[in-house]
Amino acid sequence: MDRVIIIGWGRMGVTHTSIINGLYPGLFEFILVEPNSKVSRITRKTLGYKVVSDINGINVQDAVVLITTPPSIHSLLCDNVLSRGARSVFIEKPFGLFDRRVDDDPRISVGYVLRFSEVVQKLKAIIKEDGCSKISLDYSSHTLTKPPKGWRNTEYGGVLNEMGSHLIDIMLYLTGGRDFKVLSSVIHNVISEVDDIVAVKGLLGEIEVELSLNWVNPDYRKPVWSGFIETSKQTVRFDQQSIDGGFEAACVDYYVRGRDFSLQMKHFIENDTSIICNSHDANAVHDAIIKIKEKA
Amino acid sequence: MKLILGDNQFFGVNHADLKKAAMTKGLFSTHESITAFIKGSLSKGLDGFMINSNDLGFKVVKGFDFHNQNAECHYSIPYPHKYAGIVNDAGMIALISLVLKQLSFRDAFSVLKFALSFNAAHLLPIIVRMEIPKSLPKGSVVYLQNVVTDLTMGLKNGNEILSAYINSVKSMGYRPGLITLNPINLIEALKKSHSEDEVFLCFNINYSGFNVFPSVSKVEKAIADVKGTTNWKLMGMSVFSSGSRGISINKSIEYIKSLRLDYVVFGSSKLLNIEKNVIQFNE
Repeated sequence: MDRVIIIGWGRMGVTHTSIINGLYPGLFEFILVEPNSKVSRITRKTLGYKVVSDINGINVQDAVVLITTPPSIHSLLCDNVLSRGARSVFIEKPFGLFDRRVDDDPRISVGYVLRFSEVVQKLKAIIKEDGCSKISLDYSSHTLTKPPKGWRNTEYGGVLNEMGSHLIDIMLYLTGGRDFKVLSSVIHNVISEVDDIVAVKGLLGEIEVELSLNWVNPDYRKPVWSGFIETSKQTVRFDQQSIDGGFEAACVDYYVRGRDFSLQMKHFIENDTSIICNSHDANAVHDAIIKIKEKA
Repeated sequence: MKLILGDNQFFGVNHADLKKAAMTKGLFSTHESITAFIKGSLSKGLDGFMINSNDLGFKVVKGFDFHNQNAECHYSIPYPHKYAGIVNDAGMIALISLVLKQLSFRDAFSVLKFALSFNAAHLLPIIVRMEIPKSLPKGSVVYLQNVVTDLTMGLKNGNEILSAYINSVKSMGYRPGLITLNPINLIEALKKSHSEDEVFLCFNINYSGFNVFPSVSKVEKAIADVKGTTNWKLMGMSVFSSGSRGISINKSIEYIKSLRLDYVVFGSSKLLNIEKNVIQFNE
C-alpha cells in the first residue's frame, strides 16, 4: 500500500487527509508527523492513525508527503524528505518565505488552491483568447477579531502572506508569470502586529493590476474574493462562486471544503500537471510580496 | 413530504450568488427579525425551520415560543467558523481546552473516560450540549454541519466518531441528523450500524446537478435504496440549485416531488416566494 505522510496535524493537515482518503478510500496508509505530544496521543487514540513526533523516525522513500506546518520550517522539511527519496511533496501556503525559501524542485506542488477553481480556469481561457489589459482583485473577510497567536502574528503571517498570496498567485497564473512592478502600496495594521489592510497598484508587464485586501472588515461573515478583468472585447466580473456568463461546475468524488480543494488533491495524487502551482510559481508569489512590502 | 425553512438567507450564505447573499443578510441582523420571518413562513404553511447554532441562531431558538407555534426545529451544529478560528489561532489543543472549560458535574464520567483513553469521542456529549440551547424541545433534530460530517467521515475511524455523535444526540432526547455533500459515502458508513435508528440525512439534490456529488443518478438510486432498507429520514437541500442562473423553480419542484424524500429544506428572504413554493409543493 502506498504511503501518505502528513507533516503537521493542524487544520489543513486534517483537511487534506480527509479529502485524499475520501477520494481514494483504502488506497493509502497514512502516517502523521506531529511534534505536540498531546495532539499526537489524542489523534492516535481517537482516529487510530500511526503518529510519530519526528520525520527522521520514518522511512520516506517513495512516499507522498504533505507539509502543512508553519512556513518557517517548510524549507527544512522539504529538503529532508526530498533528499531521502520522497516521491512527491505538497506544501501548504504561505510557502517558505523570505530567508527560508524552498529551493525549486519539480517534485514540489504548492497549495495555491484557487488555480483549481472553475472561475479562475474560465478567466485563464478568456485571457488566452482575448488578451488582458487590467486585472482587479479584492479579498474581504472578518477573519481577525483579536490579534492572532504564534507565527500568524509575525512576518510569516498577515493578510498579504495568508490571503493576498492566493490572489497574487491568480494574477501571475492568469498572465503567465510576467515581471511584476509595484507602482503604489499601502499597508495598515488594525488588529494584528502585521498587515490587516493592503492596497496595491502595479503592472504585470503591460497589464494594469489592482489588489485590495482586508481581513478585518465586519461587513463580511465569510471570506469573499472577487474582481474583474478587462480584455480587448469586454469587462468580465467574477467572484469565488460566479463569473459573467456562468461556468460548468466540476463534479468531484469527495467534497469537504470546496470543489477546488478536492481537485487540488486529485491533481497532486495523480501527478496530473495540467493544473499545478510548482515551487517556481510559488516563489514568484513571494518575490511579489517582498516588492509590495518594500514599496509600502 | 414536509417543508422546512432554511437559514442561509439569515446568515449571508448563497452558494451561487455572493451579492444576493450580502443583500439578504442585511435584512436579518437581529434574532428578532429572524424570529419574525420564521413565524411568517410558518403561517404560509411550512412545517418547521432549520437554524444553525451560531450566535444569532442560538438566540432565536432560546427565545422561540415553541409552545404556541406548531413547528419542527431542525438545529444544526456547530458554527464551524468559530472552531476553525480557534484551531487557526491556537491549535488543536485549544479546542480541547475550550471544551474542558465548559464542564459541569454531569460531565465527570465523559471526562474520566477521555482522561483514561485519550479518545476525544468521549467528549462529544459535552460538545453537543455546549451547542444546544436548553429551550430546544426534545424530539427536535440536531444535525452535524456538512463541513464537520464530511471532514470526519474522510478520516480513519471517522465513522466511529459519527456513530458516537448519533448516540450522544439520541441520549439527550433529540433526533440525530447529519448534513453531508457526500451522501453515498455517508449511507455506506451508517448502514453498518445505524440502519434501524431514526437518523436524518440532509444532502444536496436538484435536477441540474449543482453541487450534487458524485452525480444526480447515483444520489437518486441511493434515495430509493435507503427508503427501502432503513428507518432514516431523508431531507433534500439546495433543491433550487442555490438559485443558479437559468434554473426553473417549477421544474425544480416537480423533480423533487418525484423523489422519495421525507423533507425538503429551502430558503428565501421573501415570504411571497415561500408561499408560492408551498402551494406548488402541495399541489
